[in-house]
Amino acid sequence: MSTAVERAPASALAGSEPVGIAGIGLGVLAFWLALPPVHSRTVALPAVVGAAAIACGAWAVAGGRRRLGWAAVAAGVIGIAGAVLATHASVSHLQAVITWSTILAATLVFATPLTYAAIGGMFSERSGVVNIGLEGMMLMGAFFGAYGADKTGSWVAGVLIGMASGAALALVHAFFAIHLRADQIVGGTAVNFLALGITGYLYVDIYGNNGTPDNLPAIPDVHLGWLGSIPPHSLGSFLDEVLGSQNLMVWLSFVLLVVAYIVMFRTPLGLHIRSVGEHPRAADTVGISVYGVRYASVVTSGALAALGGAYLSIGFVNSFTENMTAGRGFIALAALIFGKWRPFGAFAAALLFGFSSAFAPQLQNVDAWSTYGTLFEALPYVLTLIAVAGVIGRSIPPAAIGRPYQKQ
Amino acid sequence: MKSKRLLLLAIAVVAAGAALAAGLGSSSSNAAPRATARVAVVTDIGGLNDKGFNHLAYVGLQRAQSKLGVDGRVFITNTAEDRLPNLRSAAQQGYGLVIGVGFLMFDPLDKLAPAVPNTKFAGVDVPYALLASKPANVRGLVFKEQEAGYLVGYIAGLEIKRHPYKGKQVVSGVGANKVPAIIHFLTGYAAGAKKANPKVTVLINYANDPTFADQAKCKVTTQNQISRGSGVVFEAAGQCGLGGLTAAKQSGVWGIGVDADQSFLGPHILTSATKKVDVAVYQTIQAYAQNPDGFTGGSDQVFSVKNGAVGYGKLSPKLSKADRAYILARVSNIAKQIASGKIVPPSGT
Repeated sequence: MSTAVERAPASALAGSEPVGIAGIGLGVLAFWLALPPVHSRTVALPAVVGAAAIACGAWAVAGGRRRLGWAAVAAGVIGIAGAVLATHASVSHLQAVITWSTILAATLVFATPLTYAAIGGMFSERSGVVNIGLEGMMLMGAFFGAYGADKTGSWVAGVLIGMASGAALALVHAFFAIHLRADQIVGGTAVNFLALGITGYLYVDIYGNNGTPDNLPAIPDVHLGWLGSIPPHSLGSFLDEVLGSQNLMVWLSFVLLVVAYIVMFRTPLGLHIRSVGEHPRAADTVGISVYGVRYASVVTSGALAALGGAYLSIGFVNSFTENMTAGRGFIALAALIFGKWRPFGAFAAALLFGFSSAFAPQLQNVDAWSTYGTLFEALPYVLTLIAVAGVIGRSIPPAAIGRPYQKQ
Repeated sequence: MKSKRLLLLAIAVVAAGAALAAGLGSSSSNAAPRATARVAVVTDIGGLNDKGFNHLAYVGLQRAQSKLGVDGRVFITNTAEDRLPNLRSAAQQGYGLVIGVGFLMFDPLDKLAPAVPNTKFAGVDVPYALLASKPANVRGLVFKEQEAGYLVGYIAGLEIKRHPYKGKQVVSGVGANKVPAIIHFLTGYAAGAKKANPKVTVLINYANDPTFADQAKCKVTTQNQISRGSGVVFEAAGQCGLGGLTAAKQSGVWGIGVDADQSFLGPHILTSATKKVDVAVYQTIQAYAQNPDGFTGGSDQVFSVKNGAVGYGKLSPKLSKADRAYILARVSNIAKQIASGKIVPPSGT
């Protein structure tokens, strides 16, 4: 809350924040009404709801919450436009594409590794060190998670070894960025290639042609069978399909989210991290060890990013292949920026990115729409660019990010 | 299967011939150093041990070294910028035949080949039509992936007819990305499944994974297909597809592998659509070694069911004896018809 409150103008109208959030919700609702299972076949109902979303947005903008307000306006407009398109599409096509339980379950699968890496990145970047090496740290976690689980026969040990490997790689990055004051983008890129080389070499050297063994100890799924018995039946089975057999790491990511928020914004430690990232000189003068905080933050970010990688290898697909993170570290960085370097913001962005990954293949279930999937997958990145460019409320990074600190 | 045996026979005959030519009774490998053909393989990005193209090309070269006694060397390409320098240094170092691996070799081959007319080149997966300079010393080595896809689709269609999954006759295919080779595989697959079983529904999805390494994407795509009732999933998706094959295993449905025979992954692999880059590389080296001056470029050499370079892999040991016999009898008949040109699987491009 702290920074959001600081940045809200003094003239804010009462309640503009909840109204803005409600506006975004109404915009999504407007679109949803035209889709299965509700299937409003006329535009009238979604149009009314969408107009309400736009009104809420306008209220929030007038109340000083510009970014939120414009987002609600955009949600309303997109909701109406989407509803118009949906009412023109045939019902059978919509039903082939929209299976909410499948899409939402896959959204969580794709969002989880991004969440871990983005939260990790938050620690590093809030302390003032750009971490473009998240990708490499995830990859280390993916390989060493699988290797550790294979050698020790325990997924817990695998996860811990994976985290340690990510932390070790982060330490390399931290040393170059903090002690040697190297360019952090260049250092991070080098760290990514280093991880690609290490994991690729060891993978081929250890596992050769046949890949990781198919009996790797896996992070267990959490089976919540009771969800299916929640009345009414349709709701119960829906919840069961979305949440009923997600991996333990998915649930842990929710816990991590809350913990990261509390640590960063509700504890002295978080204040130290943020002050080092905003104004290291000032932090130094009040006795905070800038180097110490930055080292700890970067190493933490490596361990958390590696958790995301371990989820991929021994949580979801249960094997390792070279470069299996496939750019997720960079996407997590985009989620962090889109989420304004805040845990819940980054999580929301990760969900949005995950949703687009989950939804894109669904579009192919209708031949005529199959080519739009790729386009849809690009949407989150367009949104990130808009956020960075500042069209609707700029994403402002920590003030001292990317600038090495020199002790005096 | 029969064509494979013929191929082995042909290899044995040629090897015997080569041994004779190399000097009767001499066991020394450098008996005739002047006659030794020098061959270089330039890999594509991904390393020698990628379980795909590069690896199979290397296997083909190794086989040629041991069976034909050629002098071989591998140039490893690490980045896109390495392709042209690697091809050039192979030519400069006096390798008479230089084989570039991978579709993206078309551009460097196009640039280099006219400048070194005395070196012969071959490009795995490089259609000659893409070479704008029309060099006479480059031969394209292209595969009819649709024939392999057709055969495994036929097997999938038969299997689901005999054992519907949850009462439905649905099979599916996953591609990593829309590139020509994958479109060929999947188009052939759909046609083959329909041929075996007109009642079958075929689902085709792409995981949108340009890296071919993102297992999570193929797994989610495959899970969607399984939830829509697919009982057989074909993964034409390189390493990405391994995630899909895991999904098949976890859901208790059949998986079909691609490129190499992936039966080693376990009994859930019904069969594999094989694309034998090693055979193509070996045969190309063999043709060159026998008559370097007669090795001509300027066109494509097509590898197909007919010459044993594409086909289907081992059938799963989990199949009952009756099912296996039923499938084998029919699919080998279809393979014969493809080889004779009676059936022409669609390529989709």
